[in-house]
Amino acid sequence: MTIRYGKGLDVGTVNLVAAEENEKGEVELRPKRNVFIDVPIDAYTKNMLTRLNVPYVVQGKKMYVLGDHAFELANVLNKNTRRPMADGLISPKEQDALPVMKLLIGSILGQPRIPNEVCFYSVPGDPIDSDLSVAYHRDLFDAVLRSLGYKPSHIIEGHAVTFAELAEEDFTGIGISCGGGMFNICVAYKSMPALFFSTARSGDWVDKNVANVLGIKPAKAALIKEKGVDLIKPKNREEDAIAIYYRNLIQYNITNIAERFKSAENMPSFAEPISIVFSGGTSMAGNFISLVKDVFKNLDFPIPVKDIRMAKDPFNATAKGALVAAQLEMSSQTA
Amino acid sequence: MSESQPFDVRRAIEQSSSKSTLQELAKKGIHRVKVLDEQMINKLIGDAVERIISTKTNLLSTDDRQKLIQASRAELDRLMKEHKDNKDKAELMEKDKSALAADVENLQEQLKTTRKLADDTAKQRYEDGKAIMKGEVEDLRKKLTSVEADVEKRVRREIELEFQAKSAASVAQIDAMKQEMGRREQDILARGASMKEAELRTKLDEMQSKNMELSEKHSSQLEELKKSDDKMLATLSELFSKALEGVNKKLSDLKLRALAGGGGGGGGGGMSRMEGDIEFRPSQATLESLVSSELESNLKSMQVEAKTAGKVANALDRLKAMRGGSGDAKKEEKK
Repeated sequence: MTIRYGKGLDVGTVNLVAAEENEKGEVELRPKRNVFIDVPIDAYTKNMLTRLNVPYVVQGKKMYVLGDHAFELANVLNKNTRRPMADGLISPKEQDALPVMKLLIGSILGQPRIPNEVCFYSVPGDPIDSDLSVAYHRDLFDAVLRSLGYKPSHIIEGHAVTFAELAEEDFTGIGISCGGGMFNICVAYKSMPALFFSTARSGDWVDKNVANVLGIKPAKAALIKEKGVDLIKPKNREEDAIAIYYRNLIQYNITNIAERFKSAENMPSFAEPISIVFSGGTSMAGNFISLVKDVFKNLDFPIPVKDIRMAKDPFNATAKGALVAAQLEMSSQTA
Repeated sequence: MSESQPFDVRRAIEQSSSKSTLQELAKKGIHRVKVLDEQMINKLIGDAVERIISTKTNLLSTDDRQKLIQASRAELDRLMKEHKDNKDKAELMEKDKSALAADVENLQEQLKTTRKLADDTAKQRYEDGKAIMKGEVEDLRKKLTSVEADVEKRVRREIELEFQAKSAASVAQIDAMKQEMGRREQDILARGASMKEAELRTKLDEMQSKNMELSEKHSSQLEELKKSDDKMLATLSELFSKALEGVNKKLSDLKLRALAGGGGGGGGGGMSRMEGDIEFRPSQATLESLVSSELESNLKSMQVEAKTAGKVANALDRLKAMRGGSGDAKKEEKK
């Protein structure tokens, strides 16, 4: 089988996911946690980390453990991890982290399979509740991917979700990616993005508030959340706190989305009711969709909705959508 | 035997001898025997008597010799008869002895059997007794266990009742103390409230008198201000109308920008860039310097595990069909 070249990259605040197609036509995904943690720099530590298959990087006089191992180490040592990104964009407090991010992205993307292989990476829409700019973020990642040998291009994160999940519905509907830093929303009509934006309150906001209330580190709150929480039937004090902040998060975001839709002048009018698809790690909490449906019941949503559902592969939907965009671009280049 | 009859050797031998079979003799170790017939024995006896008579009785006449021989023969018969009687007696005694031996053997056998029976009976009785005792011991143990459990329950119950009684008394004491504290708090608050009320009343009176003075002052000032207000109103209305014109212009700029963006690029945010705003875009040289640094790391030697997750060929084919297989998507994104 001929390989369809092109790669997709989900550049998330919490996780990076690379997607490509193999010779069998299957999508291969390589996720990596977008975090790092400081460790003492000495030869013994380097040897031990290499022996234990733990990735590290040395930058100047500092050494960092990267990825999932950094997250585990932070929980073991009860420390905070360092994040190259915050609120969906490159963090202004971690300017030195760009080379680290380049290493992380390089490790999951690998070498280009052909010269100037197209790589689509996800970018957030402009946030409606903060004044962060996406332009600087885009320029940086364009440079990172070029330095790795790829031809970079970007796709709005919510739009990527519609590519991955709304193929059966002619790519018409609303795709919402619930990441660590942001909720990314895109209204698409026949694969064209009609409206897209983001809100800066998502998984990290829940972790931070739960950590404050319980007196623990945000990484610990994230670990409890990722182990699996039923938002409707929490079992203990920690899960209770997570459920409470999740309800607040969903109420805030859905309300803001509805308001934004109402005030937008360029909203398409849909002849038929459409589907809303949720994806992203933050949406994977137990009974998340049930809570969303509860909020929708009491809301005057300006668009007719037939179905609210979870993506078939919520963790990887953005990467898969970016891959589809990259393959489309490659096929148009070769056509 | 009478003197007139000749000496019957055969009969004498039969009477004074015992019969024995050849096998019996062989058992006794006698394998070769000498055989004498009647004629030879008669001759031997005659010769023996002749010799004795000739040697011992040389001076005897033939008649005396004959008498002696006859007397000897009579004596011989008498001895033979005596021998035969003794032999009969011996045989009888032998028979009695055998019978007695057999009786003894029987009795010994009986004794043995009786002893064995007695042993078995005793053993069986012992086993039966043991089994019965074992059963009784088990019953006793069970009774003991249940009695112990009962005793334990009773002791615990007594302790619990004692504890409840004590704690009830303590709780009653604590309640009484709480009531007393509440009552005292209320007293204190009431006193404090009454004191504060008096103070406030005094202050209020003072302030009222001051107010009176100020109101008189203000009424004169008001008249002056009224005159200047009219002046300011005229100036302000001029300024507002100018500002409104400026805002209207900016809003129309935004609308135009949104429309020009195809609803895509301008679809995001309530915080879009305004005319005259400065956007930070790093230069190419800055970007290259940020991403060009090579860091020491073991990440390149590590293989990131890939997992397969379905196919996207269906989505890609539909997208191509929808967009005509061209790069329309990219152009739409860029707009």
